[in-house]
Amino acid sequence: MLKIRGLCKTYRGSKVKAVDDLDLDVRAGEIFGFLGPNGAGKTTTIKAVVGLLKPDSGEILVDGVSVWDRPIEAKRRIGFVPDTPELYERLTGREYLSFIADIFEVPQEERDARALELLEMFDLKDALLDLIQSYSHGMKQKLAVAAALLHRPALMILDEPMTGLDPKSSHLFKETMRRHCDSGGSVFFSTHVLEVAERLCDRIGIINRGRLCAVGTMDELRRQATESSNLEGIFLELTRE
Amino acid sequence: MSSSFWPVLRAMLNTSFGLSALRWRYLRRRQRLWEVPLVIWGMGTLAVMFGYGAYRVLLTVAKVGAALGQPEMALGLATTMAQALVLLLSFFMVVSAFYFARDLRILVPLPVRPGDVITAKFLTVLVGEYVTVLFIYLPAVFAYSRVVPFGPLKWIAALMVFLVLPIPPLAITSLVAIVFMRTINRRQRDILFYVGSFAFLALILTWQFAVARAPTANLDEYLRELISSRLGLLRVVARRFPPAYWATLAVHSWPSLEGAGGMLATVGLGLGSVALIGAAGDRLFYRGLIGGEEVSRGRSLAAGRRRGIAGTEATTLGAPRSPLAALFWREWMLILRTPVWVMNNLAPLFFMPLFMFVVMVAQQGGLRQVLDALAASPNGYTYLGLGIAGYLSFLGGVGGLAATSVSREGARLWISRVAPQPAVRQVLAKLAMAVSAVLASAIPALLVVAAVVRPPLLHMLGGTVAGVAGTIAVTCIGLRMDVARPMLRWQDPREPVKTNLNALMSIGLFLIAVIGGGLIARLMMLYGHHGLAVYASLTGVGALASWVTFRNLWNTAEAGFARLEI
Repeated sequence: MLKIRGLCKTYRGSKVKAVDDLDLDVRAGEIFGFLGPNGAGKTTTIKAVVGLLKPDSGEILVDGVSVWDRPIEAKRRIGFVPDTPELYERLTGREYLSFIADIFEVPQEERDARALELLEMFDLKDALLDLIQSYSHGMKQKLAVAAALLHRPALMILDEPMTGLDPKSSHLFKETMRRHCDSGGSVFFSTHVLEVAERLCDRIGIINRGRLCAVGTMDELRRQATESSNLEGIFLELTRE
Repeated sequence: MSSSFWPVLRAMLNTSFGLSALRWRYLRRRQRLWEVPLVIWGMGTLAVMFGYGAYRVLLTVAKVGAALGQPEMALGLATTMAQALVLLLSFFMVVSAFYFARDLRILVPLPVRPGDVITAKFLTVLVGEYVTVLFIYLPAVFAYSRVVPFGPLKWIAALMVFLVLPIPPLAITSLVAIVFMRTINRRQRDILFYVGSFAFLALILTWQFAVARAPTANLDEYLRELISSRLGLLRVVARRFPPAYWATLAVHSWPSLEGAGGMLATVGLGLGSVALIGAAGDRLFYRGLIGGEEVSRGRSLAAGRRRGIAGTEATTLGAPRSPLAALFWREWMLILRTPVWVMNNLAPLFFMPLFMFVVMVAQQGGLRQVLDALAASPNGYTYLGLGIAGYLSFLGGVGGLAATSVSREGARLWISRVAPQPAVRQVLAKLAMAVSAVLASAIPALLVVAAVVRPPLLHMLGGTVAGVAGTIAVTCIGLRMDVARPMLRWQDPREPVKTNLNALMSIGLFLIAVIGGGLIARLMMLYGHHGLAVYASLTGVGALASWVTFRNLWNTAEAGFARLEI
C-alpha cells in the first residue's frame, strides 16, 4: 500500500539529514506503527508521504501511484491527520466536512450517509453546527479524523494521533484504525505511546537520526534486540546514542 | 508596571515583527539574502514617492500659511490628519491584537498582570502606527522648516512630539475596544462586533465631517477669524480635537512658555493615556477575553432547528459543489468570518465609495462647480474615465486580498496541500475571490459616479473595462508574490495582512501600474487622440499584462505550492 525507497531529506540551511535513505513498506490491511525519539525524522517522513515536504531524493508510492509524479491521484488514496488539529476555526463542523467532501469529490449519494456514520461514531452530531473554534482539542482531533475518513481512503496516515486525547477517545481511535484495516485499508501512524504500538500494530518501524534502525512484527523486533523483550526496552536499546 | 512587563513587551515585539526570525534567516542561516536589497529598494522607493508627494503638497500649504501669517498651518494640518488616521484605522488592529491573538493562550496563564499584557500589546500596535504617522508628519516638519527658522531644539521638539503623537488616538480606540469587548453579549458576539465597529467608524467619520465643514451661519466672521488671526486654523482644529492643537504648539512655539505648555500637555497626555490603558486592562481585559473564549456547546442543534435545519437534516452536508466552487466559497467564508481580515482587506474597498460620498455631500457647492468644469472641458470626461480606470486598479492593489491570500491560510495550509486538487485550481479560486471582491466593491462607486456626474456611456464603459484589465494584472502579480513568499507562521490573524511585506508591495505595484497607464494616456492625449483610443490602448496594455501575469501564475503555481514547506 505504501512503498518508500531511498527517501532523503535535508532541510534548507541544515547540514544534518532529517531522513537518510529510508526504505519502508506498509502492506494492505495492516497497521504500521512508526516510532522514534524526538527529532528522529518521523514527522518529516510523514510530511513527505502526504506531499507537504518535497524530498531531496527517493520514491514514494501509495497504492502504486507516485506521490510526486502523480500527486492528485496519490492524494485521493490518502486520509491524513496531522499532529496538531489546525482546522478552519471559523467554519462550522458541517461546513468543514462539506468542504472536504467537495474537494475530495465524494459522490453525492454517498456523502451524507458516510458523514452520518462518522459523526455518530465520533459523537460529533450535536456539535456539527458549532464553529470549530468552540471545539475542545479532542473534538477537533475527532473532526480531523472524520474528515480524513470521509472519502474512504486506502491509506490512513496519522501523526501522533493520541496526543491529548482522553482514554475514551483514544480507545475510539484505536478501534477506528483496526476497523479501517479490517475493511481492506492500511494505517501508517507515528506515536510515542509504546503500549499502543505494542498492542495495536501489526508491524512496527523504529527510526533514529533519520535512518530506519528496525522494522518488523513484535516477535521480529524481539529477535533483533539482545537485551530486552518488551517494546520499551527494545526501543531504548535500538535508539541508544 | 511590574518587573514582568519588559520581558512580555520584548517577546511581543519580537514575535509581532518577526525580529528573531529575520535575524535567524538573514544573519545566522544567510538564506534568501537577495530579498534584503529588493525589500529595501521597494520600501525606499515607496517611502520616497509617498513622502515626497506629501512634502510637495504640505510645502504649498506651508507657503500659503506663511503668506497669511500662519506658518504652522502645514504642521497643524499634518498633526490633525495623522491623529485622525490613527483614530480611523487602528480600531480593528487593536481588537485583533488584544482579543484574537494566539499568544493569549500563552500569556493568560502566566503570572503577569492583565494591565501589563494590555500595555505591552498597546505599545506593539503603537510601533506599527508610527509608520502611518511618519509618512505624514515627517514631510510636514520638512515643509514647516522651509518657512520658519528651524534649529536643533525644534528638531528635538518635533521628535518628541512624533513619539507621542499616535498615543492619544490609539488610546481612545483601545479604550473603546476594551469596554466594547467586555460589554457585548457573547452569543451574538460576531454580529455585535460588526455592528458596533461600523457604528464607531461612522462616529469617527461624522467627527471628521464636522471638523472639515465650515459653519453656514456667520461664515464671513468664521473665514475672517480663520485667515487673519494668529493660529487661526489651528484654533478651529483645537475646538474639535485639542491634542492636535497642543502637539502643534509644542513644536511651533518651542522653546517659549506657550511651546513648553504644549509639550507638557502632549507628553503628559501620551503618558497618561498609556497608564489609563494599563488600569483599564487590569479591570476589564481578562473578563472580556474570557467571555469570548467560553464554549457554547449543545445549542447548535436548537439553533439549527430555529433556522429550519432540523433532525437528521442537521447531520447532512448539504448540496455538493464543484471543487473550484468549494475553494472559492472557502476563500470568502474564511475572510468574512475573520473581522480583522474584513477590515483590512475588504473594508478599504467598500469604505472608499462611502468616503467619496461623504466628501461629495460635504462639498456640495464645490462639487457642482467641478462637474460643470468637467462637462465644459474638451477632455473632461476622458479624465473621468481615466480616473475610473485608476480607481479600479487602485482597488486591486490597496486591499492586498490576493497578495495575502496564501499567507492567510497560515498553519492550515496543510489542508490545501493534501487536497487532491491541482495548485492551479486553488490559485484560480483565490484569484476569482480577489477579483470578485474588487468588482463587487466597485459597483456602488460606479453607480454613484453614474448618478451624480452622468458621464457619457462611452467614458464609463471605457474607463471600467481598462480598469478591470489593470486590476486583474495587479491581482495576478500580488498572488504570484504570495505564492512565492507567503507568511505562513503567524500567531495573530493581524500579522499576515498587516505586517506582510507582500501587501505593501501590492500597493507599490498599483503605483507602477497607474504611473505607466497615466504616462500612456497623457502622451496619447497630448497627440490629440480621442478618449476611445486612449481607453482601447490602456485596455490592450492591461489585457496583455493580465495575460502575461496570469500565464506566469498558472505556469509556476504547481512548483510554487510544492516549495511551500510547512
